[in-house]
Amino acid sequence: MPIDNFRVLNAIGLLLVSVVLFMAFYGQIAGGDLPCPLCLLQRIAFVAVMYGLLLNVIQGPKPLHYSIMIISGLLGAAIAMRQVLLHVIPGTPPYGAPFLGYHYYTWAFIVFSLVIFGTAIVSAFGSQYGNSAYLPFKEQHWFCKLAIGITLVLTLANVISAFIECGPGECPENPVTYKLVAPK
Amino acid sequence: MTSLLFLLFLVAMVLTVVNNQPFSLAMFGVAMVLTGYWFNHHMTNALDILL
Repeated sequence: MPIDNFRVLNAIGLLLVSVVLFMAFYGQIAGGDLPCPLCLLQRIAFVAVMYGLLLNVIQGPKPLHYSIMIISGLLGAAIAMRQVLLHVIPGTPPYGAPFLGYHYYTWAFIVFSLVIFGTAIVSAFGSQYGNSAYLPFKEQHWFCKLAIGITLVLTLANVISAFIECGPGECPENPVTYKLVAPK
Repeated sequence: MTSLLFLLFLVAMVLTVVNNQPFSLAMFGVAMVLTGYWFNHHMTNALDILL
């Protein structure tokens, strides 16, 4: 089976975004920083970017899939910028611990900007659109299978984590405990 | 609500893995609209900060 370079490139993108979500989970579990509502919305936007990448891996690269990534990246950048602007107001302390000098929402804005920039560049290569077709999971390259599996597991982990933290309703503005496991 | 949004994206992903593209895209569209609504809800919250 020939390797479709652009499917593999999108699978690499899936793994890179997975690293971002892993880092967020690491901060949540090891650092004890529970994600705020806007932090969770940024994670949702990362998942939406992953959806566009996943479409490229499974259905083959198409302009629509890159559009989905750019729209998701714009939404995520808007959410991250909203949080950055909240925390530059005098008297408003930053949320969570910094990582390499920046807070997670600042990193999120940088990463979403890179997603938009990278997508604009990669989508310009017209040769990738020639043989776009559905490729079943079992026929995918092993690297793409790995990326698809990690994506689905990470998204499921976010479903469970968000439900334990917030329950079925609204998340608290400054969460310090998980709603469903909070002490009575 | 937030877990529901993640769940909708997960369902959209699973639908594309099993090659149900129209429903997958529809699910993604619904999830994006709800995410925008929920973002607007949090954007327009009264801020609990001291100026």
